[in-house]
Amino acid sequence: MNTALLSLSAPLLAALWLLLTHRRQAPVVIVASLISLVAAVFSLYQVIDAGEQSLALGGWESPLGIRLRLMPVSAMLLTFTALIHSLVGLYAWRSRHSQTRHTDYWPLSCLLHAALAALWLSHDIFNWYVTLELLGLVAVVMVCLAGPKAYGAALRYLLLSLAASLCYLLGVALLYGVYGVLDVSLLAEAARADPSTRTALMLMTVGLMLKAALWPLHLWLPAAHSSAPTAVSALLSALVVKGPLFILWLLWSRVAPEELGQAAGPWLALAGVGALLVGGWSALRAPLIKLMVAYSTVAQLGYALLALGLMLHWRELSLDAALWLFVLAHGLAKVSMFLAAGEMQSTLGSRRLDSLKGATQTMPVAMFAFAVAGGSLIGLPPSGGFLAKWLLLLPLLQNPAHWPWALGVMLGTLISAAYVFRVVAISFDRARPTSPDFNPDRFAQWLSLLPALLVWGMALISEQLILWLTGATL
Amino acid sequence: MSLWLFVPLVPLLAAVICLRWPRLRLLVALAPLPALALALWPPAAVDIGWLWFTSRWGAESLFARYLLGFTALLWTLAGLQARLNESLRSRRFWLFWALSLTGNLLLLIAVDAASFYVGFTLMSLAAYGLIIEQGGPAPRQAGRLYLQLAILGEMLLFAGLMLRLQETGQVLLLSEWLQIPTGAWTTALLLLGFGLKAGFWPLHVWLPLAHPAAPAPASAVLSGAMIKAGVLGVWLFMPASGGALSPAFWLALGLFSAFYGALLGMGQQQAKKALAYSSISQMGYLLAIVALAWQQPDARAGLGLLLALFALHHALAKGALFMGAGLAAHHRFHGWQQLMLWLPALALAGLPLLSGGAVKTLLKKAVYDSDVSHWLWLFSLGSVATALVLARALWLMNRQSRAHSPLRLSRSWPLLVLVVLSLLAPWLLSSLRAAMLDHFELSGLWALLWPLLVAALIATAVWRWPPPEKYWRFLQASPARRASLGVKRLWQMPAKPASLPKPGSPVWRGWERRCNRLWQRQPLGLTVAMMSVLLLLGWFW
Amino acid sequence: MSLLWTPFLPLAIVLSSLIPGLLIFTLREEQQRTRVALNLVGVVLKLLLVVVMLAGVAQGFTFRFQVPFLPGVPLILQGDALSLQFVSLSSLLWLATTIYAIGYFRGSPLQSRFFGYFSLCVSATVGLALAGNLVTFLLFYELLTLATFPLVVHKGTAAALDAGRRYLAYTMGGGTLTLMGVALLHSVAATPDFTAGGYLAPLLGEVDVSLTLAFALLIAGLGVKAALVPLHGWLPRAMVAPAPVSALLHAVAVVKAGAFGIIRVVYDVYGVETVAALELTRPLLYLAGFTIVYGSLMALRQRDIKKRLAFSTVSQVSYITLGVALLGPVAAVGALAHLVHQGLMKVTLFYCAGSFAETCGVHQVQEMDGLGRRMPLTMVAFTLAALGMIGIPPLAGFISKWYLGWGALAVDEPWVLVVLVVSGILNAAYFLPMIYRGWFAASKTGECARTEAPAMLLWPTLFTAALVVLVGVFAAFDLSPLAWAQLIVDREFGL
Repeated sequence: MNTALLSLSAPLLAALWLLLTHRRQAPVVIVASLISLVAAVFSLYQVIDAGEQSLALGGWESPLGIRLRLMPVSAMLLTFTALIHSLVGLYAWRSRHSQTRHTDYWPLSCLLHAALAALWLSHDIFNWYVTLELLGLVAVVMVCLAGPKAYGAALRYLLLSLAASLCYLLGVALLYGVYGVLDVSLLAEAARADPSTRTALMLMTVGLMLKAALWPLHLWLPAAHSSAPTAVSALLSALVVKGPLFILWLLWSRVAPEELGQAAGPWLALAGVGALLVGGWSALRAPLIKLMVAYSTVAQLGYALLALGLMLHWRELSLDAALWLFVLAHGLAKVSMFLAAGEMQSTLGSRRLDSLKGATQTMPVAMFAFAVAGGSLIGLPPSGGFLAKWLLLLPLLQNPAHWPWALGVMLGTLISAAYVFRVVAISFDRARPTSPDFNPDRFAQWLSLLPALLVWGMALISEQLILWLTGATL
Repeated sequence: MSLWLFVPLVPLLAAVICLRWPRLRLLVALAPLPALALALWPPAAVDIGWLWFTSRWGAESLFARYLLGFTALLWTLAGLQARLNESLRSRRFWLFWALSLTGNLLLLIAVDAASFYVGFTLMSLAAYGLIIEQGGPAPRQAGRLYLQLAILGEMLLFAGLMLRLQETGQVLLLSEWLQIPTGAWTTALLLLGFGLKAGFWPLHVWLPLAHPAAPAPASAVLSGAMIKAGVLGVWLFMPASGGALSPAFWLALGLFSAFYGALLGMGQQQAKKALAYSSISQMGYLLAIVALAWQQPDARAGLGLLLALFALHHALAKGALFMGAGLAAHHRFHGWQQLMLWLPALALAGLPLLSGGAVKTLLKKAVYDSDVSHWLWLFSLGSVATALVLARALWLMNRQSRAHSPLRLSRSWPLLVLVVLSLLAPWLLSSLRAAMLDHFELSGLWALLWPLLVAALIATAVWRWPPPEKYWRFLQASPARRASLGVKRLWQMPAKPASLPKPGSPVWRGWERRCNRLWQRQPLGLTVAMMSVLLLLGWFW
Repeated sequence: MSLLWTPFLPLAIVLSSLIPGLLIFTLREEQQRTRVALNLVGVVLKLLLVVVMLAGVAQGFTFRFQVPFLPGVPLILQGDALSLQFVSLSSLLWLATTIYAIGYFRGSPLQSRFFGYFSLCVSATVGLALAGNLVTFLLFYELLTLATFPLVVHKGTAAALDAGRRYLAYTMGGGTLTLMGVALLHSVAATPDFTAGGYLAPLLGEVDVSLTLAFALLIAGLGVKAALVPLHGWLPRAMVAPAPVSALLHAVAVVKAGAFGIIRVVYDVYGVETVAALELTRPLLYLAGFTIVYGSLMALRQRDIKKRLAFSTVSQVSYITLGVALLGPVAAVGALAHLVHQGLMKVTLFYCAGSFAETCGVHQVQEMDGLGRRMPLTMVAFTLAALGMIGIPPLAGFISKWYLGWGALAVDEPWVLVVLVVSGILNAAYFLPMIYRGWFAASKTGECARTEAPAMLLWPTLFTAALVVLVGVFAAFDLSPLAWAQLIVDREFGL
């Protein structure tokens, strides 16, 4: 547990240090994130060895005190967050095209990291509110780093984020009013399927869906993610939207009474399919590189929502593993995709997809990274995306009555293939290649390839990973 | 390494050498000699385990040896004659010559069905190169028709062969097939497949076009050796009791073909065309012999020998005539040289003391011994018709050759050898010798001679009072050529127009644009509205 | 044979092209020699390894390499008789095509990219052949799609991109269907190794609906690559690719992957008896028959040489499907032999088409007049391969046709004979005019100077053309594709 706390506090302290000293020292951030990563890995080992751990802050036991809890999933997410943060930090520091090298990105990204870590570790619906709020605010400020042209998107993001927080807070208040506790475990014991619980869950779900940009409340995401600086886009897509998703998952799988979950499941799953199709379609038609990547986030979150909904509906716990595999695979792939997209966008000098013509010649590594990451999004074997989809598909196919859901997955796959390969095909156009404005940055390109390779490398440990996740999420 | 392997390998090797050194055409011309030697002194048949479906080659019976012998002989002499022809120097011609030869020899030494089929196909397709060698529209059209029918025959034959193999339980040895009956489809397919090569009516359509188009030595082997393979195929592939149709039908078909060919041959204006029709007529006799054998399976051995002898006699005589016709187109035969044309013609017409007389006697005897002895007069009438065609052919050749330079023996010695051999054949082959001695009885002599005399009378009459051209013209029409052209046009279907990419529907695009604008301008309002809707729904849920 | 290294042999066979391929990606354009050396080392190494494996499998050894992948589903690379039929073909033709491609691309840009993907493509093909269960198969099947796409769009023109998009649309669709099929089967029966005779027989009668649907999904998915009508649309368009790509695409990599997959599914997953019990192959049989005739008819309508060849592939690959769907041991021999025979013939034809285009600028059938004088040796190769396609004895195509015809009659489906005959005639109708023009027609432009293709294009062509003749003439030889097919069938059908 101490290692987990270290993982949380390292970025927090780094952020405070940078804020207090008014410095923008990238190496500090990277060191902090690496420390956090190492600590998170240790905590992961601990959890694997010793199971769940919890810590009451200041010795106050619940319901009075704040309790931190290290579940296997949280440990995994901690590691994942630190890993992505360090990777993106490295990019933001080393890339010549990074727009964030001399901005307030550094303290903010540390704050973001810390907020997320706190979110993973909290086990209390009000704490979650606090971390969500922090997360949202930091994210909005980070979007603003891109300069005035992003202010509109950032403002909308801020407003909706606040509305979502409000919704969530209302739900929290309602639950507190009814049961008088905030701790998740206590709530889970007490929760009954009465109208007020239902309303509270409803409010919280809508708030969280808005925060996580789950269809149909995703409209803020494409603008915000695509107008942010590249490194920020990567963090937002890979990490930030996963926070509310984590809460949503715990809320429905732990807190909500079973019959409510069963009833809500199909609706969530339908929303998931809707996200897959609508997000996919929009990605397919998007004219800008980063907009396309942002829409693909909307689409990919659909898989997670589908897994969550069906898990609730059928109590099919193996779908939990699918959900978290999706989160991991999508996060890694999206980082890679955003970094590659941002790198190509700034090197080729245009935000438009058409400018990628000939990118396989001019920026082979970045394009390769983009394609490889795209392969995972499509779910080509043996990438992480495939593992997740495989886990998702199996329960769907077992019973002929469930086959229509599989059809949804199939359509999602096809449409994701369509939008990924649309870009890849353009990049092979040798007729009128766009020549780079200035010399492509090799290091940044290779860096963007790294997470994509990691997501395909998940195949190497896939069996243990799946078995562990299936056990861990029970 | 068995000696039989040399039979197809030597021509192939000769072809390769000839491709590299075109002056060594003699090698190709002499390539059938190993086959000839093996026909005279045959070693035992040999199994070849590694060849296609394991095969077996050999020529053990007298029947097979006769066929192999005369085929090799004819090919050798025709090859030597072709070598003397200056216009036949292209490597392509000699390559196809060697390939057809290989196929022809291979099918003769084949004891299993697969080898036979391989040889048959090789021969069929390679002959195309011989037919169109001279270039120009007529050979091209003739070649096209030939190739179309050859391919069609090939495929039908394949189907027939498959069905037959199914009936015989996948035994490839042809000798085992005789006792196994066959079905209607198999019969039809095999007879069509082989018939298209053998060229009896109504599958003869390519023959009158191909023979005049091909160079004379090629016509000689085509008519003398290759089309026999069709009849041989029928003989070997069908059961001893014939196919699904009654043998009488085939007998009738053969006889009809004999008359049909002769009748049309009489009306031709080209010597080689008349000879080609005569071949159709003669193939009708061969079919009739096959049908006789089906009618009386017990007499199969004797009739088989008759078949071989008839084929041999026809091959030598018709080969000589074709080669002669080729020479007559450019040279004048004077004095005794006329005999080189007259002797084979008279042999074909069935003059006593020549091979034809002996074969005809044997044939009539066979008919007399069979159930259809009352059809004997038809065969005699057939002899009249045959004699008339040949008279026409000789007359045409004579007319052609009048104006040209005299023939030198150095250019025609292979023809002379062939004529001499065809004269000697009845004395050298024991079975023919016996028959020839038979017909020295007065009745036999008369039976052979009266058709010739009748024919001579008619020929003289026609020569003196020739009928007007217009009565002849319809005989020269060739609907098959037009049909073949039609098939070619049919194949050359119009190219598919390249499909143009369809532009996206503007209505649809407009809607998409409007939606996009809505999302982009009003994300806040829309999202809030959506939230409210969701919450409301939740409320009522 | 020591047991220590045998498991790694299949892996080594896959890596022998994968590693050179990855290394080639890192080379600069001008490092021509290194690239050629890497390619050749990979090729030769792979051939040697395949020979070792052939010897082992002929003696009854099995080579099996396994790594864990999904719970209960390891990734398995396994050398058995069936996979070796395909592996040997791929390796052999990879050798020929590599040499051809080196000659073909001499002096043109983006070679590193091309040869890199080329090697990846072969690795994927070989991996697919060696795959020991459905999931492994699926993995390589998808990788193959990915590795082939850059080759199809290599020229980077609008037409190439259009073809590439279409190719992807079809193959990704097919891949998704295959994935669904594999997952569906896994959910009812897990995913054991491919087993001679199939492993689904015990489930008969319990989950027939699932089995039927999975079969339909798998066949539809594999049928895309095998170019079964109506899933063939990508193939003729993909002809814009460079000649070596077309050659490999048509002869080995892509279409064969589909056909091979169908073989695997029918024989080693479902098993003949299960398929027969569920009556699954009848539609497939009719579809294959229709494809054979349809492909030939469409080929007749093409004026472009490569397009004509492409439709001919559509037609010919379905011979394999047809042979499999007949479900008899004899037809299976025909199908398996045709897998190799068609590969040899089609690769030769495409080499020739490429040489015609590169050396004489001939792309259309009408332009072939007089080619026999200008490029006699190439034309000889073309003629042999085309005659083989028609099924003229004793060339390769005849052998497969013989067994298919026999096999059809053995299982009492005489109408297949009609299909074979009609297809043969149509094949003749579109190949013979090309041969005629080449040898017998006079060149319209009057050019008749001998301009034979460069040696690097010529030798692979002659090599494969010679093989077309040899595998036909020596079909009864112990190591011929036919004999090997017989061995496979004996093992599959437990004869």
